[in-house]
Amino acid sequence: MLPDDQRTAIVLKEYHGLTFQEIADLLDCPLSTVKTRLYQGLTVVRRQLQEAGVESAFRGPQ
Amino acid sequence: MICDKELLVGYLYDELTRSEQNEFDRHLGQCRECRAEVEELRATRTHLALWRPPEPDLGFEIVRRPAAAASPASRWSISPIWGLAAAAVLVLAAASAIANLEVRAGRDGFVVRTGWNRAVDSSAAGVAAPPSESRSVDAGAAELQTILQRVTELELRLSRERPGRDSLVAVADTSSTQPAGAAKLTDAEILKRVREIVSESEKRQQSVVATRVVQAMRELEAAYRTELVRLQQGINQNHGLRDAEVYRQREMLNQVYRLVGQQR
Repeated sequence: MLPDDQRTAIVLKEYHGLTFQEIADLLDCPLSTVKTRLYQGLTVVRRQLQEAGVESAFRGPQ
Repeated sequence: MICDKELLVGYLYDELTRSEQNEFDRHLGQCRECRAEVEELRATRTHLALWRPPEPDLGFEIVRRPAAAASPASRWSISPIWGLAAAAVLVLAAASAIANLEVRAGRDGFVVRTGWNRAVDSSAAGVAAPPSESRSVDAGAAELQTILQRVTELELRLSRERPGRDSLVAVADTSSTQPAGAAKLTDAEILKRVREIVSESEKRQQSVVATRVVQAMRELEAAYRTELVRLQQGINQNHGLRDAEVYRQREMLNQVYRLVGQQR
């Protein structure tokens, strides 16, 4: 399960299209924290998708 | 250069300055690991973009009604309502041809004008559909009156020209109360009878045509109303769907704010 802070960052970025700065303002945290949470969140989602065997479908030809 | 994950995220979301972009592009040229990571995270984002938050529990279910179940194309092309309307128009056209009618669709509804009406008073404005029944018949009656006057004049002239003419046997008439061939009638009486018959048949024809026209108009109007109602239903349904979408968005934002609240 995705930690709440990472989940929030991803939802605001992916589904609401906010910029890093807007997310930082909204969550009242440093810009670097937003980027870190996004990176960590995406990495978690990627790992979970890979475990579920979904990711391969979206990987381009290697 | 060591692998900078903040730059990588910025690169992924296209939020780098030009110099940062160049810097990371150079790094990607050298670092196989970061190239693979960017590619995989892009794939993850693609997957996230395909994913939609689950439907919120609204406490009710949005169900498509049978009326809107048909695809838009079929609704317009083979709707029995429009078939009916087309049939009504055909009937109207046929009736118009018979009665020398003039039918126009205007802003204030349909306008029906009859040939008799025009002959009597060409300057008269068109008559709106429902009252046309009485008005056109009245106009027709007036026209008939003039014809009858002319016939009377002709009749008088004839009787003056040929005063000694023999009487004729009356033509049998099914609608007449008089027995066929029972009486010998004068010219004047025969003419009078003929006039009556003609007058009756004309009146009958006029009222039949007028009735048909009014009937056709009613059918057309009913079809139009039904279609309006159907459209209205479709619009309401769309409103419902849009409201559901708004609700979903709001629900998601609320969740985000709740999470933010928890975090503080």
